[in-house]
Amino acid sequence: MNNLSINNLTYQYTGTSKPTFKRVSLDFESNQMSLIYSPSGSGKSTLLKTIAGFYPQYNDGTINGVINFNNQNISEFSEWQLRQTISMMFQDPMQQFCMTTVEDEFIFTLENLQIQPDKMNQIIEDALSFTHTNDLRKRDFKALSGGEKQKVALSIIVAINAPVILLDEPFANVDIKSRLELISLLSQLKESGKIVIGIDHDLMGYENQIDQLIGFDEDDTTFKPLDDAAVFKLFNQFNDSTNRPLTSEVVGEPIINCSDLSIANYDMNLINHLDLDLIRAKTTLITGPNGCGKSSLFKTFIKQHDFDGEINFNRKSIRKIRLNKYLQNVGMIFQESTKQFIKITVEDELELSKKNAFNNWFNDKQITEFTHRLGLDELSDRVIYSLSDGQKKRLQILSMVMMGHSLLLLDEPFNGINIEYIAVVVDLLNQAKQNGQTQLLISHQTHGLENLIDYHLAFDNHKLSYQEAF
Amino acid sequence: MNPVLKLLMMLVIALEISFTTSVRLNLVIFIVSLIYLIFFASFKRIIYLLFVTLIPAIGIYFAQKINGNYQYGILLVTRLYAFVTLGGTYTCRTSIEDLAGSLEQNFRVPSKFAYGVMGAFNLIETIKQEIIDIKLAAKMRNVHLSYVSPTLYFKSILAAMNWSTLLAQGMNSHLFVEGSSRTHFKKITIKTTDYLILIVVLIAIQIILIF
Amino acid sequence: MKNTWSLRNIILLTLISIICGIIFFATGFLYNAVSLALTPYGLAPLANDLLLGLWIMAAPLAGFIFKRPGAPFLAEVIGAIVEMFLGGQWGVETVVTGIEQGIATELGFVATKYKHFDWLGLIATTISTTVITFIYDWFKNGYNAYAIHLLIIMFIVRFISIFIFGGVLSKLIANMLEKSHVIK
Repeated sequence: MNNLSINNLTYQYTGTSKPTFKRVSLDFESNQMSLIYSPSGSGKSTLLKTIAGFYPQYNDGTINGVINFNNQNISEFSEWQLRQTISMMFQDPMQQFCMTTVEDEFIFTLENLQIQPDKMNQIIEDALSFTHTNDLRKRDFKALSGGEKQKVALSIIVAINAPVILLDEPFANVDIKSRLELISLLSQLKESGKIVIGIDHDLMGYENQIDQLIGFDEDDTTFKPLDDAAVFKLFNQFNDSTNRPLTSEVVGEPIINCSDLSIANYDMNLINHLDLDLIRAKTTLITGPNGCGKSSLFKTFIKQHDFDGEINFNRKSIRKIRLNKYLQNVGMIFQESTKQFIKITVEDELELSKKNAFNNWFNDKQITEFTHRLGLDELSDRVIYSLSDGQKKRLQILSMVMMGHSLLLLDEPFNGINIEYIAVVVDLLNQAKQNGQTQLLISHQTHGLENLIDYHLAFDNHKLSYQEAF
Repeated sequence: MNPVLKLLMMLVIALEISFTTSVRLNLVIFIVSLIYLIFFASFKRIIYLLFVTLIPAIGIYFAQKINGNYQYGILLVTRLYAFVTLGGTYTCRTSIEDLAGSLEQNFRVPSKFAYGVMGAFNLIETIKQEIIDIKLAAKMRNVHLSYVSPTLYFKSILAAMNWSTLLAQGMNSHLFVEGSSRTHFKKITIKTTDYLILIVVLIAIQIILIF
Repeated sequence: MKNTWSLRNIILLTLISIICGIIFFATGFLYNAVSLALTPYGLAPLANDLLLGLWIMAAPLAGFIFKRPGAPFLAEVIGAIVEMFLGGQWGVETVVTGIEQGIATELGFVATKYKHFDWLGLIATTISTTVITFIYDWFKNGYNAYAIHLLIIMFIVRFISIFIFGGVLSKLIANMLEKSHVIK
């Protein structure tokens, strides 16, 4: 019976005025799967990496408090010992493999574990058979899907056989079937005596699998276990998404028309023979579980993904529109804010959008107003890369909306944005819409969007269909 | 042959033909390497090597013919082809894993160099995608980044900083700890015959040069 | 950056070489075009001098970013080894050139005792890189046989290329990184 306990843990990034979280006290035991569930940007990833011992080593910050494994302070462990105690499955599968093939990565890990060569073959076979991936042994990681990569990553964790397994949103790039398989495998590991601790912002597939749900308490900036009533309420909220009615009868002129559209990823069909109109000057919400193909659909719409069938933009096939020209009309707000920026300071970034806008829908007064309402005016001379996730996100949205694309794709734009700013972003997007902008929105977070969303498309069985509520 | 000794041998040969002026030596290296390639490399690879070298070969030949020394042009063209075929013989039979393994096991290069470089090597596709995304994001802002734009490099290096931190964590979690000892699944050794080949080849080259 | 050659920094150094390589190779058509255009005049090698600055950029860039002995040399050599395994046509010769160019740039920083990551350092590395790579090409690419006026043009073109790409462009990139507080 193992035990991992966190006592009064506080973490503060260097150069920030407030701790990311403070006085976190949590207990984890063998045969337990815990999930830390909180909005993006609340610091759950920092918490997990602190538990793993990656912070502050890989990050400028100070840590206070104690983490004990079986009543031994883990800060007294040697690194090699620590890594054998705590394993981690990462968000991006590619970050955990330094070798080219599955087998080589296994051998690399087993060599690090100082296993004798003659024992390796059996360990590899056993570990792969746990995730039913023995046929992947000789394959290149390059040729594996997100789900396959994560199954291999889990197999390696099985081979390491550490008592504690941490999961850093490992299902972000994983299709639904693999996601459910992986959760059930993790559940088996838990039954065998492991301590499993995950973080996620999506509850899909976790119901009835987890023993402890931990939430973020904004008032105390701390993480706390939720009681049964709160857990029940959360899952109900998550399962019930039919509370805000909409019309499923779409009317208007389409800006994008897909006919017989099929999209696949690594031989996995995501969208099959879809016919669909997306209506001009409306905001359409697109939902579906992780891995259903939402991101691939967006990539397709910016001409960065192969497809079969036809997509017409303003009645012209997007295959026939040159990329440079196309991107003057179609813009995308990336999930990862940092990717979007060109300049170094907040002021310069906004100035660039003002100068380069394809459509000047906003006058100086409006820009100043939104800059102020988004809390960016006081940050004007700050370096973008030192901003918090929420600040980056607000800057990213404003600078992209200012560009005046006639079609704007928004991939999880509300990640890390506090509730009080959501209303401002909604105002901003509505303003652009009044000027004729069409918006496609992927978002887990739908609270506070009543005044924005016109239509709701949901993924189901490789198709998208308009819904009567969101 | 041991990957490091083989590399060393080829470096010496490459250096030697860079600084000497024997058309005969160049031709011998070219022919021997080509025979080796025919046995061990793919046909496509051989054609590629011979073909892409045409442009610089013709360029350098005419440069010497017009602005220098015609016979020198021939020397330089044979030298180019000696380089290309010689280089081809190394990578067609030796992988980066073998070289890294030998550096670690036989030459006591810290394993973090061997595996750090290899880890980065396997991130090439990811980094390529990052560069594409950076250009794409810029286009959406009406900015066109070319190979002379500091911003393109700046953003790429920021992405590289992020990836290097992520990969280092990933490798740590697979128990790779700086300075910690490791076992070796594939033992890489230096055989006596490796030294023998090295010496014989190098002597043969001196003989061709002198006579 | 206390521990300069930590695992993370080795990966980063390699990635910087790779980035320079990827961007440089995207200009491969440029090299071929310039080279072909100059061939009828017997000036093809000038393409080499013209683009050399871009080619050696990883070294000064690594110098400006890591500000530690060995960084420029390692960036260039590791970059060359990676390129060799990627199937570049020059194979082992790339590594020889990498070592030579790495030493060339490193010497510029040595001359300023690793204290000048400013314009002085930039000029020092430009001079060391130009002179040493030129001497190397004197032998390897038969520059010794060219007419003197051509040699002078080649030297000047090479100097300017290295100054602009290896010097100014690298410095601008380093400035951006400094301004964003990701390097000191």
